[in-house]
Amino acid sequence: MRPHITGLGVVTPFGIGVDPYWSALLESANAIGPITRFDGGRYATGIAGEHPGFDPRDHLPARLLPQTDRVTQFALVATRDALDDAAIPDGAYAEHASAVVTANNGGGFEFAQKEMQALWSRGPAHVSAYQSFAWFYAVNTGQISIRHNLRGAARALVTDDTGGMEAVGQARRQLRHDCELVLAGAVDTNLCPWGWSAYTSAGLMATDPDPRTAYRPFSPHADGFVSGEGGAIMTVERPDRTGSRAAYAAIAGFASTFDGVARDGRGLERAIRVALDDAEVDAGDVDVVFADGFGTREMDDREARAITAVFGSGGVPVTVPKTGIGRLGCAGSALDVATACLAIAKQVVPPTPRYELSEAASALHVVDHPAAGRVHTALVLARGRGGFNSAMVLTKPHTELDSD
Amino acid sequence: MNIDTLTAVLREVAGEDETFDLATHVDPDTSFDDIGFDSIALLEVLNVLKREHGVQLDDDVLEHAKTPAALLDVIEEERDAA
Repeated sequence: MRPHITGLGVVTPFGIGVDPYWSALLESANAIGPITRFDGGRYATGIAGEHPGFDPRDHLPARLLPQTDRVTQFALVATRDALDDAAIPDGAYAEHASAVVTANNGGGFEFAQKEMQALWSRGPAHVSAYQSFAWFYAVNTGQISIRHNLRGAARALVTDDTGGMEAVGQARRQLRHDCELVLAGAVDTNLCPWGWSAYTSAGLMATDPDPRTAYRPFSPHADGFVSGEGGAIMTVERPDRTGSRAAYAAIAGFASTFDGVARDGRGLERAIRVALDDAEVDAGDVDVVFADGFGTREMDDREARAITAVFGSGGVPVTVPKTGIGRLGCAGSALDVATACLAIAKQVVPPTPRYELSEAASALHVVDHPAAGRVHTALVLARGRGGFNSAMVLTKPHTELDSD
Repeated sequence: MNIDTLTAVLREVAGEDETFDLATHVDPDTSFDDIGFDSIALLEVLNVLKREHGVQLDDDVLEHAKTPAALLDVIEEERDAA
Protein backbone atom coordinates (compact mmCIF):
# COMPACT_ATOMS: atom_id res chain seq x y z
CA MET A 1 0.00 0.00 0.00
CA ARG A 2 1.46 3.29 -1.11
CA PRO A 3 -0.14 6.10 0.88
CA HIS A 4 -0.99 9.30 -0.88
CA ILE A 5 0.06 12.76 0.25
CA THR A 6 -3.01 14.84 -0.51
CA GLY A 7 -2.57 18.14 1.33
CA LEU A 8 0.38 20.35 2.23
CA GLY A 9 0.74 23.11 4.79
CA VAL A 10 4.05 24.92 5.07
CA VAL A 11 5.45 27.72 7.20
CA THR A 12 8.88 28.85 6.02
CA PRO A 13 11.22 31.83 6.16
CA PHE A 14 9.58 32.79 2.83
CA GLY A 15 6.16 33.11 4.48
CA ILE A 16 3.06 31.03 5.07
CA GLY A 17 1.82 28.73 2.37
CA VAL A 18 3.03 26.67 -0.53
CA ASP A 19 2.84 29.39 -3.19
CA PRO A 20 5.30 31.95 -1.78
CA TYR A 21 7.61 29.09 -0.85
CA TRP A 22 7.64 27.50 -4.29
CA SER A 23 8.06 30.85 -6.09
CA ALA A 24 11.02 31.73 -3.86
CA LEU A 25 12.65 28.35 -4.51
CA LEU A 26 12.41 28.81 -8.26
CA GLU A 27 14.14 32.19 -7.92
CA SER A 28 16.86 30.74 -5.64
CA ALA A 29 15.83 33.44 -3.18
CA ASN A 30 17.67 33.75 0.12
CA ALA A 31 15.74 34.36 3.34
CA ILE A 32 18.73 34.04 5.65
CA GLY A 33 19.65 37.20 7.53
CA PRO A 34 20.73 38.61 10.88
CA ILE A 35 18.53 37.37 13.73
CA THR A 36 15.94 39.98 14.69
CA ARG A 37 14.05 38.17 17.46
CA PHE A 38 16.92 38.57 19.96
CA ASP A 39 20.53 39.76 20.01
CA GLY A 40 22.33 37.17 17.91
CA GLY A 41 25.61 39.03 18.31
CA ARG A 42 26.34 37.23 21.56
CA TYR A 43 26.55 33.84 19.87
CA ALA A 44 29.00 32.09 17.53
CA THR A 45 26.37 32.37 14.78
CA GLY A 46 24.10 35.41 14.54
CA ILE A 47 22.20 34.69 11.32
CA ALA A 48 19.20 32.48 10.68
CA GLY A 49 16.27 31.80 8.40
CA GLU A 50 13.56 33.58 10.37
CA HIS A 51 9.89 33.43 9.49
CA PRO A 52 9.05 37.11 9.07
CA GLY A 53 6.25 39.07 10.69
CA PHE A 54 4.23 36.25 12.20
CA ASP A 55 1.22 37.42 14.21
CA PRO A 56 -0.55 34.38 15.67
CA ARG A 57 -3.69 36.47 16.26
CA ASP A 58 -4.21 36.52 12.51
CA HIS A 59 -4.50 32.74 12.44
CA LEU A 60 -5.55 31.27 15.77
CA PRO A 61 -8.25 31.74 18.41
CA ALA A 62 -7.10 34.01 21.22
CA ARG A 63 -7.69 31.17 23.67
CA LEU A 64 -4.78 29.24 22.23
CA LEU A 65 -2.23 32.03 22.49
CA PRO A 66 -1.39 32.00 26.23
CA GLN A 67 -0.92 28.23 26.08
CA THR A 68 1.21 27.84 22.95
CA ASP A 69 4.80 28.42 21.95
CA ARG A 70 5.61 29.87 18.54
CA VAL A 71 6.48 26.34 17.36
CA THR A 72 2.97 25.12 18.12
CA GLN A 73 1.38 28.18 16.55
CA PHE A 74 3.33 27.44 13.35
CA ALA A 75 2.29 23.79 13.53
CA LEU A 76 -1.40 24.67 13.92
CA VAL A 77 -1.24 27.06 10.96
CA ALA A 78 0.48 24.44 8.78
CA THR A 79 -2.06 21.81 9.83
CA ARG A 80 -5.00 24.06 9.01
CA ASP A 81 -3.53 24.73 5.56
CA ALA A 82 -2.84 21.04 4.92
CA LEU A 83 -6.41 20.10 5.80
CA ASP A 84 -7.81 22.93 3.66
CA ASP A 85 -5.57 21.84 0.79
CA ALA A 86 -6.65 18.19 1.03
CA ALA A 87 -10.33 19.20 1.10
CA ILE A 88 -11.32 16.02 2.89
CA PRO A 89 -15.13 15.87 3.03
CA ASP A 90 -16.64 16.29 6.49
CA GLY A 91 -17.13 12.98 8.19
CA ALA A 92 -14.99 11.06 5.71
CA TYR A 93 -12.96 9.56 8.53
CA ALA A 94 -13.88 8.32 11.97
CA GLU A 95 -12.08 10.33 14.63
CA HIS A 96 -10.27 7.25 15.93
CA ALA A 97 -9.07 6.34 12.42
CA SER A 98 -7.41 9.76 12.13
CA ALA A 99 -4.02 10.21 13.74
CA VAL A 100 -1.28 12.76 14.23
CA VAL A 101 2.47 12.09 14.06
CA THR A 102 4.92 14.94 14.41
CA ALA A 103 8.58 15.30 15.25
CA ASN A 104 10.29 17.96 17.29
CA ASN A 105 13.87 18.73 18.23
CA GLY A 106 13.29 20.93 21.23
CA GLY A 107 9.63 21.56 21.89
CA GLY A 108 8.55 25.03 22.92
CA PHE A 109 11.98 26.49 23.63
CA GLU A 110 10.84 30.09 23.95
CA PHE A 111 7.82 29.29 26.14
CA ALA A 112 10.09 27.29 28.44
CA GLN A 113 12.63 30.09 28.59
CA LYS A 114 9.94 32.63 29.51
CA GLU A 115 8.60 30.44 32.31
CA MET A 116 12.06 29.74 33.68
CA GLN A 117 12.71 33.47 33.69
CA ALA A 118 9.44 33.95 35.58
CA LEU A 119 10.41 31.24 38.06
CA TRP A 120 13.83 32.66 38.85
CA SER A 121 12.98 36.34 38.75
CA ARG A 122 9.47 36.43 40.24
CA GLY A 123 8.89 33.08 41.92
CA PRO A 124 7.00 29.81 41.50
CA ALA A 125 3.55 31.43 41.61
CA HIS A 126 4.38 33.18 38.35
CA VAL A 127 4.96 30.00 36.35
CA SER A 128 2.04 29.37 33.99
CA ALA A 129 0.06 26.16 34.39
CA TYR A 130 0.38 25.88 30.61
CA GLN A 131 4.09 25.25 31.05
CA SER A 132 3.03 21.69 31.93
CA PHE A 133 2.72 20.91 28.24
CA ALA A 134 3.67 23.96 26.17
CA TRP A 135 7.44 23.28 26.36
CA PHE A 136 7.18 19.59 25.60
CA TYR A 137 8.27 18.05 22.32
CA ALA A 138 4.97 16.13 22.04
CA VAL A 139 3.00 19.37 22.28
CA ASN A 140 2.44 19.89 18.56
CA THR A 141 0.97 16.42 18.17
CA GLY A 142 -1.30 17.02 21.15
CA GLN A 143 -2.55 20.44 20.12
CA ILE A 144 -3.18 19.33 16.52
CA SER A 145 -5.06 16.28 17.77
CA ILE A 146 -7.23 18.34 20.12
CA ARG A 147 -7.97 21.15 17.67
CA HIS A 148 -8.96 18.88 14.78
CA ASN A 149 -10.42 15.99 16.76
CA LEU A 150 -7.94 13.47 15.36
CA ARG A 151 -8.06 10.77 18.01
CA GLY A 152 -6.17 7.84 16.50
CA ALA A 153 -2.85 6.75 18.00
CA ALA A 154 -0.83 9.96 18.33
CA ARG A 155 2.93 9.98 18.28
CA ALA A 156 5.85 12.34 18.69
CA LEU A 157 9.24 11.37 17.31
CA VAL A 158 12.65 12.67 18.29
CA THR A 159 15.39 11.63 15.87
CA ASP A 160 17.16 14.93 15.34
CA ASP A 161 16.91 16.30 11.80
CA THR A 162 15.48 13.13 10.26
CA GLY A 163 12.40 13.53 12.48
CA GLY A 164 10.11 15.19 9.97
CA MET A 165 10.66 12.46 7.41
CA GLU A 166 10.43 9.77 10.08
CA ALA A 167 6.99 11.17 10.98
CA VAL A 168 5.83 10.70 7.40
CA GLY A 169 7.32 7.20 7.40
CA GLN A 170 5.52 6.46 10.65
CA ALA A 171 2.30 7.68 9.04
CA ARG A 172 2.74 4.99 6.40
CA ARG A 173 3.11 2.33 9.12
CA GLN A 174 -0.06 3.50 10.87
CA LEU A 175 -2.00 3.59 7.61
CA ARG A 176 -1.06 -0.06 7.09
CA HIS A 177 -2.65 -0.91 10.41
CA ASP A 178 -5.48 0.92 12.06
CA CYS A 179 -5.50 4.41 10.54
CA GLU A 180 -7.01 5.91 7.41
CA LEU A 181 -5.77 9.49 7.70
CA VAL A 182 -2.58 10.74 9.34
CA LEU A 183 -1.51 14.36 9.77
CA ALA A 184 2.26 14.01 9.62
CA GLY A 185 5.32 16.20 9.49
CA ALA A 186 7.20 18.58 11.70
CA VAL A 187 7.64 22.21 12.60
CA ASP A 188 10.63 23.48 14.55
CA THR A 189 12.07 26.73 15.78
CA ASN A 190 15.04 27.31 18.01
CA LEU A 191 15.01 31.10 17.65
CA CYS A 192 15.19 32.29 21.23
CA PRO A 193 18.29 32.68 23.41
CA TRP A 194 17.68 29.36 25.18
CA GLY A 195 17.21 27.39 21.96
CA TRP A 196 20.04 29.20 20.26
CA SER A 197 22.43 28.43 23.12
CA ALA A 198 21.69 24.73 22.72
CA TYR A 199 22.33 24.85 18.98
CA THR A 200 25.39 27.07 18.81
CA SER A 201 27.17 25.15 21.57
CA ALA A 202 27.52 22.07 19.35
CA GLY A 203 29.99 23.85 17.08
CA LEU A 204 28.33 22.63 13.88
CA MET A 205 26.91 25.97 12.73
CA ALA A 206 28.41 28.28 10.16
CA THR A 207 30.70 31.00 11.46
CA ASP A 208 30.64 32.98 8.20
CA PRO A 209 28.51 36.02 9.13
CA ASP A 210 27.53 36.74 5.51
CA PRO A 211 23.93 35.49 5.01
CA ARG A 212 24.57 35.06 1.28
CA THR A 213 27.44 32.61 1.66
CA ALA A 214 27.24 31.11 5.17
CA TYR A 215 25.21 28.00 4.30
CA ARG A 216 26.55 26.35 1.18
CA PRO A 217 26.21 22.58 1.28
CA PHE A 218 28.82 20.73 -0.83
CA SER A 219 30.96 23.85 -1.13
CA PRO A 220 34.71 23.42 -0.44
CA HIS A 221 34.31 26.23 2.11
CA ALA A 222 31.33 24.71 3.97
CA ASP A 223 32.04 25.16 7.67
CA GLY A 224 28.61 24.56 9.15
CA PHE A 225 24.89 24.99 8.71
CA VAL A 226 22.55 27.89 9.26
CA SER A 227 19.40 27.26 11.24
CA GLY A 228 15.94 28.22 10.03
CA GLU A 229 12.43 27.95 11.44
CA GLY A 230 9.15 26.55 10.17
CA GLY A 231 8.28 23.25 8.59
CA ALA A 232 5.58 21.25 6.91
CA ILE A 233 2.53 19.24 7.93
CA MET A 234 0.79 17.02 5.39
CA THR A 235 -2.27 14.86 5.08
CA VAL A 236 -1.35 11.24 4.34
CA GLU A 237 -4.18 8.94 3.37
CA ARG A 238 -4.86 5.40 2.26
CA PRO A 239 -5.01 5.57 -1.53
CA ASP A 240 -8.30 3.67 -1.59
CA ARG A 241 -9.93 6.38 0.52
CA THR A 242 -9.15 9.54 -1.42
CA GLY A 243 -11.87 9.06 -4.04
CA SER A 244 -11.56 11.54 -6.87
CA ARG A 245 -9.41 13.97 -4.88
CA ALA A 246 -5.96 14.67 -6.31
CA ALA A 247 -2.74 13.62 -4.59
CA TYR A 248 0.69 15.21 -4.85
CA ALA A 249 2.64 12.00 -4.54
CA ALA A 250 2.62 8.44 -3.32
CA ILE A 251 5.01 7.22 -0.64
CA ALA A 252 6.63 4.35 -2.51
CA GLY A 253 9.60 3.54 -0.29
CA PHE A 254 11.11 4.44 3.03
CA ALA A 255 14.10 3.31 5.07
CA SER A 256 15.98 4.38 8.16
CA THR A 257 19.46 3.35 9.22
CA PHE A 258 21.73 4.28 12.08
CA ASP A 259 25.48 4.66 11.88
CA GLY A 260 26.01 4.00 15.57
CA VAL A 261 29.42 3.89 17.17
CA ALA A 262 31.11 2.29 14.17
CA ARG A 263 30.55 5.49 12.22
CA ASP A 264 31.65 4.03 8.92
CA GLY A 265 29.50 6.65 7.27
CA ARG A 266 27.86 4.01 5.08
CA GLY A 267 24.48 4.20 6.76
CA LEU A 268 23.13 6.75 4.31
CA GLU A 269 24.04 4.57 1.34
CA ARG A 270 22.30 1.63 3.01
CA ALA A 271 19.21 3.74 3.64
CA ILE A 272 19.09 4.77 -0.03
CA ARG A 273 19.41 1.18 -1.25
CA VAL A 274 16.79 -0.16 1.15
CA ALA A 275 14.35 2.65 0.29
CA LEU A 276 14.80 1.99 -3.45
CA ASP A 277 14.23 -1.75 -2.89
CA ASP A 278 11.19 -0.98 -0.79
CA ALA A 279 9.83 1.18 -3.61
CA GLU A 280 10.75 -1.47 -6.20
CA VAL A 281 12.52 1.10 -8.32
CA ASP A 282 16.03 0.98 -9.79
CA ALA A 283 18.51 3.79 -9.28
CA GLY A 284 18.05 4.63 -12.95
CA ASP A 285 14.36 5.32 -12.37
CA VAL A 286 15.06 8.17 -9.94
CA ASP A 287 14.54 11.58 -11.54
CA VAL A 288 15.89 13.74 -8.73
CA VAL A 289 17.56 13.48 -5.33
CA PHE A 290 16.76 16.03 -2.63
CA ALA A 291 20.01 15.94 -0.67
CA ASP A 292 20.29 16.44 3.07
CA GLY A 293 23.02 19.09 2.65
CA PHE A 294 24.29 19.13 6.20
CA GLY A 295 26.74 21.95 5.50
CA THR A 296 29.96 20.65 7.05
CA ARG A 297 32.73 19.27 4.86
CA GLU A 298 32.78 15.83 6.47
CA MET A 299 29.02 15.33 6.34
CA ASP A 300 28.74 16.76 2.82
CA ASP A 301 31.55 14.54 1.53
CA ARG A 302 29.88 11.50 3.05
CA GLU A 303 26.59 12.33 1.41
CA ALA A 304 28.24 12.99 -1.96
CA ARG A 305 29.99 9.59 -1.75
CA ALA A 306 26.74 7.83 -0.81
CA ILE A 307 24.86 9.36 -3.75
CA THR A 308 27.71 8.64 -6.15
CA ALA A 309 28.02 5.04 -4.89
CA VAL A 310 24.40 4.34 -5.73
CA PHE A 311 23.84 6.46 -8.83
CA GLY A 312 27.32 6.79 -10.33
CA SER A 313 29.16 10.00 -11.10
CA GLY A 314 26.70 12.62 -12.31
CA GLY A 315 24.12 9.86 -12.53
CA VAL A 316 21.16 11.73 -11.11
CA PRO A 317 20.10 15.37 -10.72
CA VAL A 318 20.68 16.50 -7.13
CA THR A 319 19.25 19.57 -5.43
CA VAL A 320 19.37 21.19 -1.99
CA PRO A 321 16.54 23.72 -2.07
CA LYS A 322 16.91 24.43 1.65
CA THR A 323 20.06 26.41 0.87
CA GLY A 324 18.06 29.65 0.92
CA ILE A 325 16.38 29.07 4.29
CA GLY A 326 18.79 26.97 6.34
CA ARG A 327 18.15 23.73 8.15
CA LEU A 328 14.78 23.78 9.88
CA GLY A 329 15.77 21.38 12.66
CA CYS A 330 13.79 18.18 12.37
CA ALA A 331 11.24 20.00 10.21
CA GLY A 332 13.63 20.46 7.28
CA SER A 333 13.17 16.84 6.27
CA ALA A 334 9.37 17.20 6.38
CA LEU A 335 9.66 20.32 4.26
CA ASP A 336 11.94 18.47 1.82
CA VAL A 337 9.25 15.78 1.48
CA ALA A 338 6.71 18.53 0.78
CA THR A 339 9.08 20.13 -1.73
CA ALA A 340 9.49 16.80 -3.52
CA CYS A 341 5.68 16.52 -3.63
CA LEU A 342 5.53 19.93 -5.31
CA ALA A 343 8.29 18.97 -7.75
CA ILE A 344 6.33 15.88 -8.77
CA ALA A 345 3.05 17.79 -9.02
CA LYS A 346 4.60 20.59 -11.07
CA GLN A 347 7.17 18.46 -12.95
CA VAL A 348 9.93 20.92 -12.09
CA VAL A 349 13.07 20.41 -10.01
CA PRO A 350 13.67 23.45 -7.77
CA PRO A 351 17.28 24.58 -7.98
CA THR A 352 20.22 24.97 -5.66
CA PRO A 353 21.93 28.38 -5.97
CA ARG A 354 25.06 28.27 -8.11
CA TYR A 355 28.40 28.17 -6.27
CA GLU A 356 31.67 26.27 -6.30
CA LEU A 357 31.46 22.57 -5.35
CA SER A 358 33.96 20.57 -3.34
CA GLU A 359 36.03 17.81 -4.95
CA ALA A 360 33.79 15.03 -3.62
CA ALA A 361 30.69 16.93 -4.71
CA SER A 362 32.03 17.62 -8.17
CA ALA A 363 30.80 14.12 -9.04
CA LEU A 364 27.25 15.30 -8.33
CA HIS A 365 24.98 16.75 -10.97
CA VAL A 366 23.70 19.67 -8.90
CA VAL A 367 20.70 21.40 -10.48
CA ASP A 368 21.36 25.16 -10.46
CA HIS A 369 18.33 26.40 -12.41
CA PRO A 370 14.65 25.38 -12.31
CA ALA A 371 14.63 22.21 -14.40
CA ALA A 372 11.32 21.41 -16.07
CA GLY A 373 11.05 17.82 -17.17
CA ARG A 374 9.99 14.39 -16.07
CA VAL A 375 9.76 14.16 -12.26
CA HIS A 376 8.00 10.88 -11.61
CA THR A 377 10.27 9.51 -8.91
CA ALA A 378 12.05 11.56 -6.27
CA LEU A 379 14.40 10.40 -3.54
CA VAL A 380 14.59 12.56 -0.41
CA LEU A 381 17.49 12.18 2.03
CA ALA A 382 17.76 13.24 5.65
CA ARG A 383 20.34 12.93 8.38
CA GLY A 384 20.49 13.80 12.03
CA ARG A 385 23.34 14.35 14.43
CA GLY A 386 24.42 11.15 16.12
CA GLY A 387 24.08 8.84 13.13
CA PHE A 388 20.46 9.04 11.95
CA ASN A 389 19.87 8.44 8.23
CA SER A 390 16.54 8.32 6.43
CA ALA A 391 15.55 8.00 2.79
CA MET A 392 12.11 8.25 1.20
CA VAL A 393 11.03 7.52 -2.35
CA LEU A 394 8.05 9.49 -3.62
CA THR A 395 6.37 8.74 -6.92
CA LYS A 396 3.77 10.35 -9.12
CA PRO A 397 0.50 8.88 -7.92
CA HIS A 398 -1.13 6.40 -10.25
CA THR A 399 -4.71 6.99 -11.12
CA GLU A 400 -5.54 3.34 -10.58
CA LEU A 401 -5.83 2.15 -7.00
CA ASP A 402 -3.04 0.17 -5.39
CA SER A 403 -4.19 -3.27 -4.45
CA ASP A 404 -1.36 -4.39 -2.16
CA MET B 1 -14.47 38.88 45.36
CA ASN B 2 -17.33 39.43 42.93
CA ILE B 3 -18.19 38.14 39.49
CA ASP B 4 -16.54 41.10 37.76
CA THR B 5 -13.19 40.40 39.40
CA LEU B 6 -13.45 36.71 38.59
CA THR B 7 -14.41 37.57 35.03
CA ALA B 8 -11.27 39.67 34.75
CA VAL B 9 -9.22 36.69 35.91
CA LEU B 10 -10.96 34.42 33.40
CA ARG B 11 -10.29 36.96 30.68
CA GLU B 12 -6.61 37.12 31.55
CA VAL B 13 -6.27 33.34 31.42
CA ALA B 14 -8.30 33.00 28.22
CA GLY B 15 -6.36 35.65 26.35
CA GLU B 16 -9.50 37.67 25.53
CA ASP B 17 -11.26 34.91 23.70
CA GLU B 18 -13.71 35.84 20.99
CA THR B 19 -15.87 32.76 21.49
CA PHE B 20 -17.79 34.49 24.26
CA ASP B 21 -17.86 38.07 25.40
CA LEU B 22 -15.86 38.10 28.60
CA ALA B 23 -15.37 41.83 28.32
CA THR B 24 -18.92 42.62 29.32
CA HIS B 25 -20.54 39.68 30.97
CA VAL B 26 -20.19 36.06 31.86
CA ASP B 27 -23.17 34.10 33.10
CA PRO B 28 -22.10 32.88 36.57
CA ASP B 29 -24.05 29.68 36.09
CA THR B 30 -22.52 28.71 32.76
CA SER B 31 -20.27 25.69 33.15
CA PHE B 32 -16.56 26.26 32.69
CA ASP B 33 -16.73 23.52 30.10
CA ASP B 34 -19.20 25.52 28.01
CA ILE B 35 -16.98 28.59 27.99
CA GLY B 36 -13.99 26.52 26.95
CA PHE B 37 -12.03 26.29 30.20
CA ASP B 38 -10.39 22.89 30.37
CA SER B 39 -8.63 21.50 33.43
CA ILE B 40 -5.29 23.18 32.69
CA ALA B 41 -6.97 26.53 32.05
CA LEU B 42 -8.70 26.24 35.44
CA LEU B 43 -5.40 25.44 37.13
CA GLU B 44 -4.10 28.64 35.61
CA VAL B 45 -7.18 30.45 37.01
CA LEU B 46 -6.24 29.18 40.49
CA ASN B 47 -2.68 30.32 39.80
CA VAL B 48 -3.81 33.85 39.00
CA LEU B 49 -6.24 33.98 41.95
CA LYS B 50 -3.39 33.11 44.27
CA ARG B 51 -0.80 35.34 42.67
CA GLU B 52 -2.86 38.47 42.12
CA HIS B 53 -5.66 38.19 44.67
CA GLY B 54 -4.10 36.22 47.51
CA VAL B 55 -6.77 33.52 47.27
CA GLN B 56 -5.22 30.17 48.05
CA LEU B 57 -7.28 27.22 46.84
CA ASP B 58 -6.39 23.55 46.51
CA ASP B 59 -6.59 22.05 43.03
CA ASP B 60 -9.30 19.63 44.17
CA VAL B 61 -11.89 22.43 44.49
CA LEU B 62 -12.18 22.09 40.73
CA GLU B 63 -13.85 18.71 41.18
CA HIS B 64 -16.92 20.52 42.57
CA ALA B 65 -16.72 24.12 41.40
CA LYS B 66 -17.94 23.67 37.85
CA THR B 67 -19.24 27.21 37.24
CA PRO B 68 -18.01 30.73 38.02
CA ALA B 69 -20.78 31.03 40.66
CA ALA B 70 -19.66 27.82 42.35
CA LEU B 71 -16.05 28.98 42.30
CA LEU B 72 -17.06 32.29 43.87
CA ASP B 73 -18.85 30.37 46.64
CA VAL B 74 -15.68 28.37 47.31
CA ILE B 75 -13.63 31.57 47.44
CA GLU B 76 -16.10 33.08 49.95
CA GLU B 77 -15.98 29.93 52.13
CA GLU B 78 -12.22 29.99 52.05
CA ARG B 79 -12.15 33.63 53.13
CA ASP B 80 -14.66 33.03 55.94
CA ALA B 81 -12.63 30.07 57.20
CA ALA B 82 -9.40 32.06 57.19
